[in-house]
Amino acid sequence: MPLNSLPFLCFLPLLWIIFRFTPPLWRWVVLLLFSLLMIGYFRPWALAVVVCSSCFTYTAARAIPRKQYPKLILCVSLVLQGIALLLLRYVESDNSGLRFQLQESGFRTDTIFYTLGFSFYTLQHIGYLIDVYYGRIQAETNPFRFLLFSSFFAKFNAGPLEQPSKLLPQFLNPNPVQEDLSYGLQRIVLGLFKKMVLANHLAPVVERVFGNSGTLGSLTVMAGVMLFTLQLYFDFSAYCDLAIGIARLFGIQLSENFLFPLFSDSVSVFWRRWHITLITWFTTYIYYPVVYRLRTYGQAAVIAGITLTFLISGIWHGMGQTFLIWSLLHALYLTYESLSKHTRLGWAARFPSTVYRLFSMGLTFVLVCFSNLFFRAGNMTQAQHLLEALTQVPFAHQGLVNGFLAPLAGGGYQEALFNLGMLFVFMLVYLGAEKKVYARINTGGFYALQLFILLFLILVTGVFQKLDSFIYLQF
Amino acid sequence: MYRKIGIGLVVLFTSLWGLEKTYDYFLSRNMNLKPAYITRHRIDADVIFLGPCEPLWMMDPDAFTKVTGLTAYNLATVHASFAENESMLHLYLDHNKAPKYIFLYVTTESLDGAFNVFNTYAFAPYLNQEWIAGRVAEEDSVYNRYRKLPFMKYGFYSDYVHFGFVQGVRHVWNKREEPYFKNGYVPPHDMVWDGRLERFIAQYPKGRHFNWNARDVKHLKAILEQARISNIQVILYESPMLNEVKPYILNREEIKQKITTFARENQVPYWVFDTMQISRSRDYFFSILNTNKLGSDIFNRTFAAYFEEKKMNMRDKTRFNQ
Amino acid sequence: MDDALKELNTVFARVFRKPELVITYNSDAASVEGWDSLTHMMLIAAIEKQFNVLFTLGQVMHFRNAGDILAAIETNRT
Repeated sequence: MPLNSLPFLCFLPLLWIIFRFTPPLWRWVVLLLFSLLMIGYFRPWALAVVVCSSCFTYTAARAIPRKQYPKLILCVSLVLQGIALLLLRYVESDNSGLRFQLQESGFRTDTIFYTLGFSFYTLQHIGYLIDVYYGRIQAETNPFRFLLFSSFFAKFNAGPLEQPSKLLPQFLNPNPVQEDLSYGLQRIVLGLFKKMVLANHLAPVVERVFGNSGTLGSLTVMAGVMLFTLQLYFDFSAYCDLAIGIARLFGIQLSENFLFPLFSDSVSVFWRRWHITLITWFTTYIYYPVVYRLRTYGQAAVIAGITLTFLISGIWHGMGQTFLIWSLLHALYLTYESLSKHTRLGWAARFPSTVYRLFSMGLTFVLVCFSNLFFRAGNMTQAQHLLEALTQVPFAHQGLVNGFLAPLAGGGYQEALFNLGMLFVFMLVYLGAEKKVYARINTGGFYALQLFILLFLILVTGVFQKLDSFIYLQF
Repeated sequence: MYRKIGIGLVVLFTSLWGLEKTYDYFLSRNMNLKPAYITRHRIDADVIFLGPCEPLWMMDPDAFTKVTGLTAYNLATVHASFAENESMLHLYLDHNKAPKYIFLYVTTESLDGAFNVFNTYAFAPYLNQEWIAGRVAEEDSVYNRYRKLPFMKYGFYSDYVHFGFVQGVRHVWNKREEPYFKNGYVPPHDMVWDGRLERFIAQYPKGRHFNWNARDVKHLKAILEQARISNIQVILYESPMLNEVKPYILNREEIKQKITTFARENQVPYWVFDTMQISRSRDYFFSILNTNKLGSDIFNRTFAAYFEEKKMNMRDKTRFNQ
Repeated sequence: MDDALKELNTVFARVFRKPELVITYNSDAASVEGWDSLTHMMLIAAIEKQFNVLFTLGQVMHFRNAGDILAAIETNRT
């Protein structure tokens, strides 16, 4: 269920009151019941799947240290989870139930279908089983607490992916204090602002570029791809703000998933700041094991690790050529950075640091945006169409307004351009102030003025219709 | 913290309430918005053109006046369903003398339910009127749930009102009394081929069956009823459509027949201009149903002449049918 | 600086191509330029070769600083 949907946000205060008046040792039960209720209310199929998956993982984790063939148990469990994850790529869920469609999948713009949150908690389960096998953590002994770990409503749909060693202990005795409420509230409002004012306004602009089968100017496509990167950032980081903020109201601390990635000066830095928990999972359970096994081969090991990691990441996002190309592009970027590290350090020494840093940030943003052209294109035909448009001479047929702004704005008339201009102003002001906004919230103080300005902007300029779902709910 | 939240909420709601009143004031004085213009000026036209974007960008009141001598006003609004047409007509009649004729555009998609909408935000400044509030509750129940919260009647569709508000401030500041398009007609000077035909074919490669939506029929009947009460002659018409699209409207003849039967039952004419030469060529169109400047000029002359011919043959309205 | 740390220092300097680099027990990825997930394993492979030890994957992933590495070398030798 979308975290910014009204039914959910209305249930939340009621839940909090019940939670608050429950003895601390039993509060996890309240969280579990609410999580199951929320999942079952919006997606009954998802409830059945998460309960089965959790039972299976719990049982396997308990068996690993106690049975004779722990490696076999682990391997069988991982294979089954992996097959389920692959098959899930072809399963869609909507209000009428589950559907199995064996076809290539690309980026979805309709918000009807959700993949049940399965992709996320399955990765958590896989990581959990591996950690139990290697003795890094003890298997959870309470099946219902483990179910809560899988189904916790704040992070069920799209993460953050949590380490069981970090999350499970927090369920034992959650006791939110005023600082948690203050922090949670501010993160929730910030998330709502990013989603409803920024991301939701960017969505139709981006759709006009990616959904356009007609002639587009090269600058329009470039702008569309860049705006998609911004939309994806605002949308997904907003979801994470909501998840983290809501969890914090209940005294649970979830992991950060974004650390101002748009200002990264290399693709490897970008991946340390973008969807952090997912990349940490891939690094921990795929990249490191592969590179460790091949470490005597030096750089070749690193390249193999990077390529395999991103290939799997691409498949995790979807079984389509576009996701494959997206993942290979990032593998290529990181391979280049790995091989050219010393050369680039040499270049950095030759130029003024600000100039070099700005150039690096700009180049990184362009490279990420280019890969996102494939990420966002629903299929290869659309991607090819956009690539062809990129090769056109700018303004060859029409001027700045009709050739560039109007296709983005949905028309060359004043109102459309006004709305586009307002969006750009909001985006730029927010991006300029973002670090300061987060720094304030992270001090633990309650910044009422900032909060109410954001609330005011949400109510006055937010998009309330249709777009009440997040991009990453489709994965 | 709780005290700050309490104070903040009070300040927030007060600001939103104040902003709502400000929007009420300036939006209802933005002369480029038809509801504002028709409620603040006596237009008193003899003829009203009503419908969605097709008549808005096609029917030139001046061209009609030139041929017929009757004053005319184009009351059409973009994307408007019959529910919206009816509401616009109601607003117009509340503040203006009833016209003699209403020309109402009706085509295959008009009664489908999927192509036109009730643009709720256009009526937001007038929600204090009971009949508008009733219409909004009927047509947009989701909006209706939230609109009573401070500013939400604008906030819910904020993208459609901010520019109008800013423009309204300008109009009040400059004491502007006339809209940019004085007679309501928006000439299609800058309209370029919009690709709607290609998109329609891509979406329905085997064509589409159009629906006969009861709700749209209900609102169409309501327009006729309003007109009957005010002793206005309504004439339904369909302007030319591009021939290229006709094979993709699978039940065009069926719907056309249904509209004709409906017109007969309600004793109103239905003029269909689907055999005009201009329908054969994209040179006269910028979209499936919308003529460009060249096509519009030709159609306006044809339409006015047809009206004159029909009128000349009649002595009284009861025999004014096709 | 004790001998083990000195020897570790030479490996760091060689892998990261910084002959002037000086590490301490607390040196970590934040303080050593070039030390990140892409270079970590290459560093580990070089350290294993230099000290003639083998680290487990679990140990490798839990190294936070040079001190952790030295402690693991000591453990693995004994």
